[in-house]
Amino acid sequence: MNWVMDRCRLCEMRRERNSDYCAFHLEAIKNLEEAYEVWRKALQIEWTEFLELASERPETGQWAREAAIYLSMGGREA
Amino acid sequence: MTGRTLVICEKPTAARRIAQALDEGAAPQSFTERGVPYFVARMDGEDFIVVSALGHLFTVAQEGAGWTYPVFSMRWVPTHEADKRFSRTKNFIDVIGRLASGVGGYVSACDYDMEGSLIAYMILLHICGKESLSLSRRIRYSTLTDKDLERAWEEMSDHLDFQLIKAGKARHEVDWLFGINMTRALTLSVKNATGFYRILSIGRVQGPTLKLIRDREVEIKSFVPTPFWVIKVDTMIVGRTYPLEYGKPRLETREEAEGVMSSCKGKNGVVKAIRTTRQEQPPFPPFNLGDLQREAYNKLRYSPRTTLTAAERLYLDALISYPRTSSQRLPPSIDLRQILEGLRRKKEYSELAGMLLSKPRLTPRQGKKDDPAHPAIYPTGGAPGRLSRVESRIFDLICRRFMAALGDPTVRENTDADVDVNGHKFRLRGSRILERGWTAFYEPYVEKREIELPPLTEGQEIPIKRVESIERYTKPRARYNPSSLLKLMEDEAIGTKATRTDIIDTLYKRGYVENREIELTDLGFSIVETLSRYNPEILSVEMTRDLEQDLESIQMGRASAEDVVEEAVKMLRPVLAEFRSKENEIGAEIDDALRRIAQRATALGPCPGCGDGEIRVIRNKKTGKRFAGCSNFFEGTCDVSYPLPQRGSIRAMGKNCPSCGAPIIRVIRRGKRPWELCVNFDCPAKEK
Repeated sequence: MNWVMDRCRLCEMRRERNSDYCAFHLEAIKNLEEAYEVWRKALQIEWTEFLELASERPETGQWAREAAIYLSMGGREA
Repeated sequence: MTGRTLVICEKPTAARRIAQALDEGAAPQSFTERGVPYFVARMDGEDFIVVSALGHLFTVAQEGAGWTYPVFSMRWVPTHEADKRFSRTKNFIDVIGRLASGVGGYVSACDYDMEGSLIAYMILLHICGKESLSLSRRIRYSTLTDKDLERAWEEMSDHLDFQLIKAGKARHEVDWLFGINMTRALTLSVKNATGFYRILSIGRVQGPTLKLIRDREVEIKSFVPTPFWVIKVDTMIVGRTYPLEYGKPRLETREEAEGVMSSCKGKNGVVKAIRTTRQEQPPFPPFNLGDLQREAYNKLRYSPRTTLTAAERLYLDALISYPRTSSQRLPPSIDLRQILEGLRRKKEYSELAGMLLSKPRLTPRQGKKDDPAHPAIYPTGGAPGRLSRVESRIFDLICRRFMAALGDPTVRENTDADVDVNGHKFRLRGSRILERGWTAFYEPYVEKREIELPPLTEGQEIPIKRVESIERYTKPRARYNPSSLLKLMEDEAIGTKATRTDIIDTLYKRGYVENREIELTDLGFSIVETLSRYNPEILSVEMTRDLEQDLESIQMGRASAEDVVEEAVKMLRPVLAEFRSKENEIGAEIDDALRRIAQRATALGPCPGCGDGEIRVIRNKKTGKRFAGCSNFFEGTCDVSYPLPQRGSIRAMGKNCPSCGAPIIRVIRRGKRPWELCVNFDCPAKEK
């Protein structure tokens, strides 16, 4: 199997079946999507702005930050 | 019992104390042979040879040769034969063997728990001979004071505690079966798949513990915070500021928060209702080991290991009772007044102990947890000699907690006022202590939360001084620390009070976790991930807990040790067969992770010279010295390199020097303060 093809887009972990991401970045993206609903209601902001703000928060976990930065730069969603 | 009797203790200090308590003149003869101390005490015309072990003198080892798995045949061998690091234990075996010849009876005087009982049993079985078992008796004590030891001697049981021994033996065997097989399976999977040899180990309780840490780590690393707002309002009453709590602790939108803020600004509050309640808070029960370790971590920042070591020293000095206890109860047999009389002789407790002694009746607060072998931890009342700083602080914590448990409840008056500010509901809370009760004894460790309110009346107007809406964000749950991890293991019923501290230490030693706020290392993470994927049973909390219950059943006499060990083998067989069948995949996956870890460990940061290379730690093959160089050096496209300090470990800080762009590193040397520096020797910032 091609090593690169097998890997998550954001790290060197093996990607999940039918996804571009490993289980952890996939979980982080799911959390971002869930959190966005709260941010949108609270601050009336768009997805891209949310990703930028979330990636700058110190409380954001490492994988969620990596996913937020990647998605904010135009990376495809899961 | 006639002639001489051999008394077996667990540690040399305990042997000396026991010999002193036994000897009629409290001055036993003291000998040392090949570094092994022993004592001869004389009582009622009889000689008692009091000798000590050095922890376990015998251990489980593989029957037969070969470094492979599965392996289910085992035998008990001298510890020094199984592990060369314990070569000193050979002298103890030889000396005990010589002293045992010709004695007429034996007494097991090791600590009264599973390990202590097993230590004495193995000495009797393997050194003194099988026939010694029927001639052996057992003393049970919770403190090493003369009084307690003399009582224990009088109430000596005429046989060994075989239930405890069987339970201890089975626990060692089951742990050995899991440890040896899983360690070999992991190590050989990498070796067979890649030829790379590195010992990778995991134990029966370590696996599930690591899994619990991993689950928290995943939660933290994939956490996304969400915003909320809190309203902060202060009021001024009789020249003092008091905080008002808004009815809704969290507001979900900025709009709502700003609405509340603008509505309250410049307005006065009106006291609508006042409620006053009297609250009695009973003292905490005396410490068991887990509670002591947690309190010492929370209040003094001592790790569970530090606390346990200090507590064991205090126990061996006969200053406190046996610390490895689950009990939070003090039985009526303990002479509380005598202990307090002893504490009264110590200046810092004189007044407090006097207060308790003036009470007509002393009734300790009893906790829910009990231990059939030992009471809660309590001071003996003995006068401490020279104690280290840690020991003296742990001693203080134990003494104060003991006295607090004998104290009266603390009585508080809580005042709760509803305040209306322009239609918004707020609360003004106050609390004052009416009777200090037990907090007087536990003063240095009590968190103060008194806000004494001035007299208030319904309808009273109070001015609002500050109205603020503060934007906050949710936080992930905290990482475990050694204390909270210990609590989690207790709650999940994995490990025992005697082993949990060691298990946490082992996770650090193996490099699976790091830092005080426990973080899973890349190595720990890769081991858990691989096992979760291919062998989730090994990490199963339920399986470990079930096995733990089976092991406890042996102690209660409800299960046979042989059946429990056999059950463990039955559990392991399919797990190991499954492992074997996927060995190549597992090995390749772990090897892959190990390579990534090694690569990451040498990477210091992006190269400021070429931009697309990475500055890495490189070793000169000829001299063995290390330096930092660009990864593009071998491509011939970049020659950036920097000298590095040759001593200590180097960690990348994940940032670059603002002055020259070279990576910033931290150099860590044993006994020295960590040192952060830019790797560039000629960095302009250094010239300044």
